[in-house]
Amino acid sequence: MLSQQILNGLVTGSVYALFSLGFTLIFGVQKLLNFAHGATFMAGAFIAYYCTISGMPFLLAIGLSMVATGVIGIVVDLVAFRPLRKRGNAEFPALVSSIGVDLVLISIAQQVSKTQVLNFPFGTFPVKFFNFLGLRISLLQIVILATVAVLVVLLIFYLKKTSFGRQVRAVATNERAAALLGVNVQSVFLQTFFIAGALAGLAGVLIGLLFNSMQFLMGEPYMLRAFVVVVIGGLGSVPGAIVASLMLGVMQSLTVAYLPSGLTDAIIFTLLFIVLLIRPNGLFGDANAVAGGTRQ
Amino acid sequence: MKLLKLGMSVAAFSAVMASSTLAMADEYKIVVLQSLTGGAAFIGKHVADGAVMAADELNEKGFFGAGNSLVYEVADDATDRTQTLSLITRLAADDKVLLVMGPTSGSVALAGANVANERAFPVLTTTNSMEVVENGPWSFILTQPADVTIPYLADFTAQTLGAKSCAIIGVKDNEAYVALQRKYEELIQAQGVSLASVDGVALADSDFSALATKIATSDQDCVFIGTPAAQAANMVIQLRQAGLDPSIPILGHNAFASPAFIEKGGAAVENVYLIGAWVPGGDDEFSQAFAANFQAKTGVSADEWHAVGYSGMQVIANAIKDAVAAGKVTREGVRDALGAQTDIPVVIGEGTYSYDEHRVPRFGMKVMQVKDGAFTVVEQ
Repeated sequence: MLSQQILNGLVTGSVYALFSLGFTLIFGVQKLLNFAHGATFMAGAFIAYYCTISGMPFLLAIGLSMVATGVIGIVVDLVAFRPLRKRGNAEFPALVSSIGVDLVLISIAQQVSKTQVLNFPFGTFPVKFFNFLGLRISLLQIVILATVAVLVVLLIFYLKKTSFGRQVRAVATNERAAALLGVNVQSVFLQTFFIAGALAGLAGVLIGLLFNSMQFLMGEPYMLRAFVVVVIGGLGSVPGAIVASLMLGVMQSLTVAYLPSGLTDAIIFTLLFIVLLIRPNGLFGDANAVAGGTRQ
Repeated sequence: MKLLKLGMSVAAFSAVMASSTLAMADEYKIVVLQSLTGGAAFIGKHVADGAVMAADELNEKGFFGAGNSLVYEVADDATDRTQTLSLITRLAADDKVLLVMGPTSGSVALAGANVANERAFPVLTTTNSMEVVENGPWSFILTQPADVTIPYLADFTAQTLGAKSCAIIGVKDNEAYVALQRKYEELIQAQGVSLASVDGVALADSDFSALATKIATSDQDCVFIGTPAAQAANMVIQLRQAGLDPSIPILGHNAFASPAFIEKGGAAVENVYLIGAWVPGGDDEFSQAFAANFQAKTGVSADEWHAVGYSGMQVIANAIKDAVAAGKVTREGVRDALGAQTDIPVVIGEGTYSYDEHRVPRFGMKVMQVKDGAFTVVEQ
C-alpha cells in the first residue's frame, strides 16, 4: 500500500504544483497574494465542462479553457490589482480585492451550475488501468504526470531562457529599475497573470477529470493548500513550489493512509508552522527570492 | 349627460366592490430563509426550490380559500451565523411575518433558534438537530433526527447483511452529517459490528484516492459513506477504481437518495444500499406528480432535499390553515398549530408527516438499493 499511496500523492502533488506555480509566479513578480486564484481554477474546470457537454472536442475544450482562464487572470489584474498598484502600498488592499473577485466568480459559478456538482460525461477520457510492480495506475494519472512535467519544464525554460522570462525576472527583482531600462512593466504583469490563470485553469480541468467532480467551491481547499505550498517552498520560488507541492501531495496521502484522516490538515499546517519557525523564507526561498530573480 | 352619470356610477360601484374584495382577501406571509450560498447551499437551495414550488401550487389551487394566499419571500442565510442572526432579528420585528422556514444547517439553525425563542417568533429549521427543538418552544426541525432515521440502516447492516466490521467515511465539517455518522457508529457497535476504520472528509473535497486505496486494501465487511450524494458517488467510483472487492456492500444514509447519486456514479454505484425519505421519481401518485412537475419546471430531477422542502411547505400551509380556522392567525397560533400537525400528506417517507408529543417530526424511511440504474425499495 505504501508505494501505491506515494504514487497517489505524487499525482495529487503534481496538480498542486500546476496550481501553485501561477500563485507563486504572481507573488514573485508583484509581491501580491492573489486569492482569486482558486476561483480561476474552478472556472477552468467549469469552462471545459460546458464546452465538452456542448459537443466540443475535449482537447479543444481544454485549450479554450486555458485561454479563457488566462483572460480571467488578466481581468483580475486589471480590476483588482492595477488600480490599487497605481495608488501604491497595494499589498493589503489587493488581498481584500482579490478575495472580492474570488467571491464574485464563485457566485457566478453557483448560479450557472444551480449548485449542482458537475462531472465530465463518461468516456470523456478513456478509463484504463495498468498494473505495474504492484502499483495500479490509470492512463489519466500517467497523462497528468507527463503533462505537468512538460509544462513545468516549459515554464522554467520560458522564465530562464527567453527574453520575456528575463523581463519577468527583471521586474520581479526591481520593478522601477526594469522600467527605466525599457521593460514594459504593465505588459509583464498582464502576461504573468495570463500564464498563472491558464495554469490554474488547466489544473482545474485535470482535477475535475481525475476526481470526477466539479463544484463552485472546488477551488477553496486548493487555494489553502497552494498557500501552504508557496510558503513552504519559499514565496516566489518556482522550484520551491514544485518540490513543496509534491511533498504536500505525498504527505497528505500518507497521513490519510496511516493516521486518522481528520488529522491531515492539522499535520499540514503544523508543518507550515515548523517550516516558518526554522526557515522563515521557506525551504527554497531567501529573503529576496522572486520568480527566479532576487528582489532588490 | 345621463349616460355619463350612469357610467360614472357603474365605475364607482365597481371600484368599491373591487376594494371590498381586496379588503376581504387575506395574505399569510412567511419567509423561506435557507442557505442559498455557502457551504450548506447544497441543502438549502434545494429545500428553498422545493418549498417555493409547493407554495405556488397551493396558491394556484386556492388552498387558503378564494382570494387568500400564502405570501412568501426567499432569503439567504449564506450558511453564516451573523447573517442569520441579523435576518431573523429583522424579520421578527416585522409583524406581518408569521413564520420563517429556515435556517438550514446545524450551527446556523441553532443560532437562529436562539434568536427566535428570545423573540417569540416561530422558525422551522431544516436541520435534524434536537438541540434546536430543545432550545425553546418556538423552534422546530423539519427533518427527522438521527435517532429516528439511522436505526433503519444500522439494523439492516447488522441484522440483514450480518456485517461484523465496517469502515466508516464521514463528513467532518457539517454537524448534521456528523450526527448521522455518530449515531450509525453507536447503533452498529451496539449490535456487535466493529469499526474497521473511521475517516472524515470535507464537503468540498474530491480527492479520495489515498482514502480509497487504504480502504480497498483493508479488511471489512461493509463500507458506510456519510456524505452528500454527488460526493458519495465520486467516492464510490474511486473506491471501485482502487480495487475494492465488489462483494463488500457499500451503505449510505438518506442524502444518497438523489438522482445525482446514480447520474454521477453510473455503474460504480450499482448495488449500493441507502435509506431514504425520498424515492427518486416518486413511489405514489402524489410524489410521482411532484417529481414530474419539478422536472418540468426546473429542468432538474428532484432529490431528497427538494422533496423535503416541498413537504415542509405543505406542513406549514396546513398549520396556517388550522390557525386561521381556529381564529388565531398570530405567531403563537401558527406555532401551536405547527406542533399539532399530524398525518399531513407529503411526498417523503411513508407519505404522511406528523409531529409527535415532543415536536419530533415523523414521516418514516425506506431501505433502498441501486439496481439497474434505479432506486428500488428493499423488501425486508
